[in-house]
Amino acid sequence: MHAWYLDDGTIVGDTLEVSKALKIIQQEGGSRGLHLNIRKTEIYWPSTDPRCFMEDVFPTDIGRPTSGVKLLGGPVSCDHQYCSDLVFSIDDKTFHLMNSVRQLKDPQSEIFLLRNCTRVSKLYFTLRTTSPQVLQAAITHYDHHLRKYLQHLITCDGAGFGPLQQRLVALPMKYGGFGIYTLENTSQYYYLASLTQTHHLQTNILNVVDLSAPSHNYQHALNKFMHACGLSSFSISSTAPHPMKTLEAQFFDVVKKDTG
Amino acid sequence: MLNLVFQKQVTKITSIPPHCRLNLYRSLKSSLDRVLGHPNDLSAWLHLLLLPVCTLSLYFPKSSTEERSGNRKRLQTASINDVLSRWREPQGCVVLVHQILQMHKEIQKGRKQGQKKRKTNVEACRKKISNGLYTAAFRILSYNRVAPDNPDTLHELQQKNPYTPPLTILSGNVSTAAISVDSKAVLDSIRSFPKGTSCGRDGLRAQHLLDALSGPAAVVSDELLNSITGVVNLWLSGDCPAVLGQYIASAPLTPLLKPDGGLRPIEIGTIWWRLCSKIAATSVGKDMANYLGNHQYGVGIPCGGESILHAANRLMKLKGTENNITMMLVDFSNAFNLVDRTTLIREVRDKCPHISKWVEFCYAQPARLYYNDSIYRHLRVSSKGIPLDHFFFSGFTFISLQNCRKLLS
Repeated sequence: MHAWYLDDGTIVGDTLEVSKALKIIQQEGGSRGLHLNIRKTEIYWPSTDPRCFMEDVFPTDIGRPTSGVKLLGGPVSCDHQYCSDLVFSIDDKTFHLMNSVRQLKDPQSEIFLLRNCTRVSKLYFTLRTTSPQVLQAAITHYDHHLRKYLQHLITCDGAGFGPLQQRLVALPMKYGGFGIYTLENTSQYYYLASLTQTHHLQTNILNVVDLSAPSHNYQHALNKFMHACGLSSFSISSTAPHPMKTLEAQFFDVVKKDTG
Repeated sequence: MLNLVFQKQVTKITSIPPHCRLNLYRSLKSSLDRVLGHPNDLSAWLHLLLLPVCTLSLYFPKSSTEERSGNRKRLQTASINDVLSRWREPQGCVVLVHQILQMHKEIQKGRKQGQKKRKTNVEACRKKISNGLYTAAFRILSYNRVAPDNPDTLHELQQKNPYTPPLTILSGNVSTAAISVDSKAVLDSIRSFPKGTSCGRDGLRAQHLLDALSGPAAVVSDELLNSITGVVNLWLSGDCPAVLGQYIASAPLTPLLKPDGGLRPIEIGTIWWRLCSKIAATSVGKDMANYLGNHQYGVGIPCGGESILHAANRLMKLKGTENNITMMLVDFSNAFNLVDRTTLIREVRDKCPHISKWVEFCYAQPARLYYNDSIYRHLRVSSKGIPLDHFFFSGFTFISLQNCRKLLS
């Protein structure tokens, strides 16, 4: 695997090959003004190759994290704890943001901002790229905070904000909610939608001919979605124009029926 | 002269009052037409660049009665109309420039007193909400503070954007004709600027162009649009005098503090520069995405970043237990500013010759970067939100990648 996102490069392969690639980048890059920042360049694999530590394979000061790496703002690791920790730190940043919003002391604009702009937050990118299995704790944590904040906004921390109200608030505007979604709801379809959307790109990146067998994560996400919507069979084609919107509509239809 | 004017920080109004729009339309149109009539005449180009600086200054209320919002609006409108009519007199431009250079000192004093108390993020956010810019409001809340204005900040900025001598222009001419665009593409590009986007030191905002196209002038807006398109095409075909390149590509810097204590300089280019680059980038977008093929996912590919993440995670699930594999994440230091421009221009000439005239016009000379009153020059590529740079950069890494691949296979 060999993929770049602007100046961020990811190279996966046989250790010696990767080491060769690094040397080429170092040699060729200098004359083009691309200077490798070796301390921020990282190597990682769950089962570390002993050859990594051999002399002349990688520079000594290259980053060697042991439990996982952060790639383009999302976690890449087999270690659930690592992923979860990373997401929690993103959670905290969002809370920090919410606290700033709180300083406005104007409920109307606060709700407005929450509705229009929470997607700016990195949390939503993480939601799209990280399997909900590892996110569970972080999601509960976030939703708890969000509920408390909404309660503060709507009833000034007073009574009368029971489970029913909480569910109502989290509905889309169309169904009379505030359009401020909880992560518990969105996590049901974000990851699935993203996987569907990027299916053919993944095939390109991994450079394999046959990826038709759906990945374990995909299957899991699909099952979960079908379970949440009470469907027995469901299929979505990767060429559908807006998988996110389709899934969202489907999901909230069901939620609305439940809330009744 | 242009340098002196740009060095002054003159606060500009964010949008044009309706009663001024027709006047602005006329002035802008005549400036553009003058450039179109004499593309080799430096003074015509100067006129065009100086127009917004000279005419769109914010009116500073002089007394408390003038500060009331109704009065202020009226006075603002009157002052702009007054200046615009003076602008159209022969020699009006010269007179106004001198006036700006003179007047500025007094205003700055006034401003310093007024701004003793630095605006907090919360206040700035409230203002953005009232202007209807919700995303901007949210961003402001999450931003860190602007770095204090002191010699250290200036020094660090200079480190980040090192000066490189002007390029020795590559020999040989490009034979391919430059792209030319129609008015629809230009209008779309102007509309696609984010709402409320800021201006460079020339003071022209995207909103100003939109305002000039609307209002009472809307009936004849097509003509102005055609003039704009004509001038944009002149730029794209490299017919603008080369000395102006460093001004068109100039930008003020705002140093934001990074969470880890470093500086993140934000550069905002002039609207003309951003507009032309945008058009150029759109025109080569498809070709570049094809050329970059299977290794660069940052250009012209929706969801590219997500796909990389998914693919990496998937590969790890599949082969995580094999212990002869390693994943390497490459990090370049200050890549966008340090990239070698000679190589870059050579590549642009090679791969997308029809925009190379514009690229050379912008990047052959060190651009002027302004930080408060100090200026320094450097050759730069990057500026956030300018798609053109991303194309170049990715094209650039691609050259090294191709070498990589050859050796690996």
